Formats: sequence, C-alpha cells, structure tokens
Amino acid sequence: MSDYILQQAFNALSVGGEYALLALGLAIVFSVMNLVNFAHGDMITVGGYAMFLLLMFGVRDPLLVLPFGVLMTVAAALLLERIAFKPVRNASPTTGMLTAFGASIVIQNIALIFGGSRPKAVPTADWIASSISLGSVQIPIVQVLETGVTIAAIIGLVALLRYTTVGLAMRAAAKDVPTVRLMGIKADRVILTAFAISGFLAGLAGIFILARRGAVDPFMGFAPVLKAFVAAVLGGFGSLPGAVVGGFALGIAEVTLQVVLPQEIAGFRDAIVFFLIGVVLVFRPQGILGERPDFGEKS
Amino acid sequence: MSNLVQSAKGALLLGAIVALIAVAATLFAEPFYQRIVFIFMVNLIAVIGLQVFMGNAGITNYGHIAFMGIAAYTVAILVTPIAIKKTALANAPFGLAGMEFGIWTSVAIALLVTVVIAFLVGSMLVRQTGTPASIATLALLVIVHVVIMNWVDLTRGPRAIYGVPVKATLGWAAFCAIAAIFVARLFRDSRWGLQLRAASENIAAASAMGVRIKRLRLAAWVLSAALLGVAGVLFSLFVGTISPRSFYFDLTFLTLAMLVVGGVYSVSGAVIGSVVMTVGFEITRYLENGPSLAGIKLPEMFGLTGVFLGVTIVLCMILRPHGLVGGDEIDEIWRRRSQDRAAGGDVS
Amino acid sequence: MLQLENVHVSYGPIKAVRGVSLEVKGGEIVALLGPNGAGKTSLVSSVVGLAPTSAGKIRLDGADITGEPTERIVTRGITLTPEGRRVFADLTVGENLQLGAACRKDRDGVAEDLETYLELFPILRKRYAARARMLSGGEQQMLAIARSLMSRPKMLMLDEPSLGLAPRVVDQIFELLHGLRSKGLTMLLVEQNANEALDLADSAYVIASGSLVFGGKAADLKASGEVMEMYLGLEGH
Repeated sequence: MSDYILQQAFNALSVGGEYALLALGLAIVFSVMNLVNFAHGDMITVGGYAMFLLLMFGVRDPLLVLPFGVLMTVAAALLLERIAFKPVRNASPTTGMLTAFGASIVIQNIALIFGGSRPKAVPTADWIASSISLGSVQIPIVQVLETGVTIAAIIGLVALLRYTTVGLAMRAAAKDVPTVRLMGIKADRVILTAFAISGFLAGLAGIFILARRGAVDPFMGFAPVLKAFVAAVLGGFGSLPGAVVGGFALGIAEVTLQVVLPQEIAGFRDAIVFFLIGVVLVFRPQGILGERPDFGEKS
Repeated sequence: MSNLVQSAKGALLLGAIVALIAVAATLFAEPFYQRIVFIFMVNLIAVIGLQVFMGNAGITNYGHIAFMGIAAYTVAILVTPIAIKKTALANAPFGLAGMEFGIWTSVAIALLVTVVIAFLVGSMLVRQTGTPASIATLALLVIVHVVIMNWVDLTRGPRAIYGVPVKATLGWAAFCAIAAIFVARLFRDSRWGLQLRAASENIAAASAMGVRIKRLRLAAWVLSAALLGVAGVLFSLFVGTISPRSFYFDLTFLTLAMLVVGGVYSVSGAVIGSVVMTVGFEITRYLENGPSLAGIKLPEMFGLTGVFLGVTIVLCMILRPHGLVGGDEIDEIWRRRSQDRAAGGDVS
Repeated sequence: MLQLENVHVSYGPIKAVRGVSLEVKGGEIVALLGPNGAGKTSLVSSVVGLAPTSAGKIRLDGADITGEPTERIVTRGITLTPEGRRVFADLTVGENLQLGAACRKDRDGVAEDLETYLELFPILRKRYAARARMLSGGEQQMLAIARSLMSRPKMLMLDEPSLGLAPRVVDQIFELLHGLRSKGLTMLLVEQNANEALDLADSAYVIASGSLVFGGKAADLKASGEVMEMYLGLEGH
C-alpha cells in the first residue's frame, strides 16, 4: 500500500512540475508586461510539431531532437512577441489578452490545416517508457526526469533573476518599466528575455507532454496551459512563487482525486478540481501567495 | 427618462436591421441560406448576451457558451418524445426517461435552470476581478463541458442527442434577437449599466462602490446568461441534434470574435460585428471545403475558418482595439455628428 | 552641453510645457524652479524621452536627441534621478546600484565607481544587502542619486531630490550635491526649495504654467525680489 502511495506521490510531483513550468512561463511574461499569454500553450504545439518533423526526416537522436524542440518553442515565443504582442504593448490588458487569444486560434488552425485534426504518433525511444526501481517501487523514468528538470529549472530561474543584470532588470520592470529604461536598459530586451525564458520553460514542459502522449495534435499545448492558467490563479496571478505553488497544488489535487474517486465519476475529475479551486478562491480571492489589492501598483 | 427613450430609439434602429435581414431571408433566400440566417440570429443573441456582461462589467468572458450549452441540453432532454428517449436516453436520471414536456414548459424550465446555475456561479465569480475573473470563466466552460461529456445517462456523453422536435422558426429567432437588442440596450443605458461601466473604467470608483458593484456585476452576469439561454434553446429546437462539441471552443471563438470585432462596449458593436463576421466566416467556410473557382479546384483546408477568426481578432486588436463601432452606440455617434454639423453651421 | 529650443510637452489635449528654451553648459549647475504643476517634471522627463515632446528640439552636445528612446538617450551620457526616487523596492541596495551601471561595459570602471560612491554614501555600504524598501526616505534618495551616478553620466538631472524629506536630511542631500559640484559634474536641478538650490546653482530658470518667466544668473534671481516673491513665494535678498 505504501508503495502505491509513494508511486502516486511521484506522479503528483511530476504532473505538478509540468503545471509549475507552464504557470511560471505565464507569470514571467505577465509580471514584466502585464500580458496574459493565451498562446503560451501553442508555442508548445509548435515545438511538438518541430520534433515530429525532425523524427519524420529520420533524425532519431534525442540529443538532437529534444534541444531542437525547445529551440523552436523559444523561437515561436519570440516570433509571436514580434508579430502580435509588440504592436499592442502599451494597450490595455484586455487588448493584450484578446490578441494572445487570437494568436492562439491562428496557430491551432494552421496546425489543423497542415497536420489534420487526428493525433500523429511520435516514435519515442524505449527507455522513455521504462521505469526505475526505488526499493520495491517502480517509478516511470519520465516522472523522475520531469520532477528533476522542473526543480533544476526553478533553481536556474531563481539564479538568473538574482544574479544576472537582465534578471534584476526583469524583477525591476515588473514594478516600474520607465525607471528601468532610465538605467539605460532596453525595455525591448527585457521583454524579449522574458519571452525567451517563458518559451524555454514551455519547451521543457513540451518534451514531457509529448513523452506522455506519444503523439502531436493541434491542441496538445492549449489544453495543459488551460490548467496552468488555473494553477497560476490559484497560486496568485503574476506571482512567480505563486505559480510554482499553484502548479504543484493543482498536480497534487488532480492525482489525489484520481486515486480516491470511484471509477464511475473519475471522468468528472477536471470539473471537480476546477470547482474546488473556485471554492478556495471564494475564501482567498488573491490566491495562495497573491498580494491584494495590487491596483495601480505598477506605474 | 429621456435617456431611456433615446436608447429605445437606438434599439429600434438596430432591431430594424435585424428585421430586414429576417424578412429578406424569408422572402428571397433558398433554404440553405435561410438556415445560415437562422444560425446568425442565434449567434447574434449569444453575442448580445456576451456584450451585456463584457461591455458593462469590463471583464473578458470566455465562459458564456457554457450557458448556451446548459439551456440547449436542458430543453432537449425535456422536450424529446418518450419514444425517442427509449433508445437515446433510456437511463436518464430523475425519471426523465419516462417524461415528455410541452414546448413552452420545456423552454421555461430550461431558462430557469440556466439562470439559477448562472446565479450560483456568478456569486462565486464576482469576488474576482480582471484576469483571474476571466480565467475563472474559462474554467467554467471546461467544467460544463466535462460534465456534459461524462454524465452519459443524462446527456449521452460525447454522442449527440437526436430527435429534438424542430419547433423554432426564423420568425421566432428574429423576434428573440430584436428583444435581446432592446434588453441589452436598456440595461446598458440604465442607472445600473451606467454605474457598472463607470466602475469598470475607474478602479477607485469601483472600490468606493464596494458591495454594490459586486451585485451589479452579478445582475449583468445573470442577464447575460439568460440571453445565452435563449440562444441555446433556439439552437436546440432548430437543429434538432446537439452534441458537446457544439458548445465548446469553436463557438466561443466565433462569438467572441464577433463581439470584439464589432466593439465590446456597445450593442451596436455586437450587431455589426455579428453581421460582418458571419459574412466573412461563411465565405471562408466555402473556401475551406475546397470549391472550384473559375474552373480551378481549390484544395480542402480544414482550419481556414479558425485562421480567419484568429487573424481578424489580432488585426482588430492591433488596428482598432475598440472594434469597428468604437465605444459608443451608432445612434449616439450619429446624433453627435449632426449636432456638430448644426453647431458648425451656426458659427459660419 | 544641453540645449532646449522652444520645447512643448503635451499629454493628449493637456499642454504641460509651452515653448521653453534653455541651456545648460558643461560643468555648470542650473536650477529649474517654479511652483507645483508648473511643468518642471514634464520638461526634464521630455529630455530623457519619458514625456512626449510635441514640438521643439532637444540637443545634447549638439546632437538632436528629440524623440529618441529613453535607453538610448541615457547611454549618450545624460540621466535623470526621477521624482519620488523610484528605487526598485524589492531589490537590494547593491542590486539597485548594479542596475544603475547596466548600460556600461567597463567592468573595472564599474567596480571602481561602486567603491567611490560607497565611500561617498557610507550609509549605502552599511545597508548594501538590505532591500531598498527598508531604507528611510533620505537613504532612498541617496540610493537613487548613487544609482544614477553609476551610469557615469556627463550630466545629471535631479527632480526634486529634497521632496518630502526632513530639513536635516535635506541639508545632507545638498551637502552631497555641493560635493558633486566640486567634482565638476554638470547638473540640472529641479527644486521647490529655491534658496538652497540657488546657493548651489550657477544659473537658474523659473517656469510657471508651462512657460519660462525668468532665465539668468542664480545671483540675479536671488536679487530679483519680484520674481522670487511672485513665483516662488519667497522674500528676495
């Protein structure tokens, strides 16, 4: 029994880690430029199709395929910033959010036109599906890697935000963009860095999403990011620690329900999780780590 | 008071456009196009419903279609004949498998269920503002979809409910659309609407109004849901077959695009956006199916309509973030223009 | 060094500055005085591109910088210590200073300057690892000035450095500015505190309702009782 619990705990950590990576990417972009990036998940889709294409061309070496997927996710993020978000940079948050929403629809449907709506299987290496033994417990290697990568990414992000000038500038820009520019720092560079980081985190999460699903389809990124949004709100929207906490909380809640719900109503899991989060937010509208009210704090 | 007379006049103008479209379609159009016009009316009601909340409360809503789905399913489950239920919904709970309701009873119950659910959800939702509120509406859409997909005994799950009696006519749809225009316009220009809009533009005013603003937001939310309920009922009773897919992201995208392109802050925007986007959408859908144009067979491109919607939203946000109509109703714009002209005439 | 020719600043329909011309020569300290809402902040903000210049020309060392983005203007060697200090509250004192030098490539020079200013502002050395929000108003002002200096500017503009500070602290700030003057730094000082500012400045301008009402030697302004009284609410000497 305790083996089972340990297995599920690892499962929760890896699922939560995926949400945390995605929610962090959303929070970074939001904190720097107040943009709710609905197209965040579609960058993952771009990365997923990029990996799929590379595999189709016969490139099987994961050391080539995986970095290429991450790279293309980052490229998609940067390209999207240039094409869609830069023109609305000084507009209202609603305008930015709807722009992102529109961009998201465009990417999904371009994937639909060229790839069709059916999932396309991606050949994964055998070792991805294997498990490692921890005493008497079998843990899928994907989960171990995902948890590890998430923790490493969070540590790396903290280091970047603390010890590099551009990281400091990003933290400063979250509160006061004009003064950051007075330091001679290009606002553009800070924003592009934020997008690059969010794309990188999305790319990492994308690899694991692909590994779990074993297929690409036009909505592969949209659906998980929907949950990441909810995780970010649960943690406190715009807060980076909140994104991590919200992500893991959502992962744990999902896996717990999966374990305890009777078979007949297991299908309702997502509805129940979202509803429970709604109840939490009734009592704590700012989320777990959110500040309230943050009206007009940003100038 | 004269304010409300003015907005009724404005609604009359918009209503006349809708009536004209309905009459023209009835007299001249082939059934294929009549069907398009009917769906246009349904979407128009949905877009007006969306406008009532988004335009007044200033919160982007992604969950409106959930209420359309709730109403559509409720009316379908109630009104479908027992004979069809025996095969389609044999295990329906609450004894619904053995019951069959009249059309008006079914419609009334469906709208009541929608409004009650909207009230309960809204009471939770109005505690949030801005982006978190928008994400909560998105979560609502997902929750309702998941429930419809999984409550197989009641909804047939992912499979369609068929055999819903086709009772709705184009006339009814047009009537409801015109009524929706009046309701939305009068709400917008009422004291409540004005207060809500003032609060959504000014955070200081909003917090000064405190509890009251939450109540107003809830009122707009419930009214919005009621209009979406009407749209759902009409859809169900016209198409005769409904499935969960009909009430998910595709329709959310379409109706949101209609409103955003026309202009969120006015009922005129909702109407004009619906007309413009319906025309654009139908043209793209024609192209999507790979027609032959001038002897050249175009390839099938499923997804083209989506690209069209997305590109239109992005371009609109970049070039005209307040939509084609802008912040004011068209009658307000005309009145101001003619006043300006009169004033200009006096000076010269 | 800095020349403004007939500069207008408007925010939509609101005109904050209506045609101001002034000059700051290298090595000089110029005071920009005037009542609240006269347009002083708008004027210095327009110099660094943070407020929109609707008409007129701004030149730095002869080069036209009108309408250039803020970050490029700052790298040309002019910077502003903004009104209300605007230190990065969640960052430490050290991180604030590091950001001040963000546009510089000369690592050795930055380290050298850091040492210089920590010497000049001992309180910043003492509170180097503290978050800026923990500092007092006067300490934050010193941090803001030091942060501006870290970009090694040719010219520094200060917007109301004494605003909201206790008289004793104001004296400290002005003492410090006297110290910077002796190092030959060119400065444009926006102040409400006219007497202190005029003691420091070589020349002075007075603006009211967006227009220039006086321009000349600081000593002359001090002697002109009328201007001092009318616009600055002070008795002339």
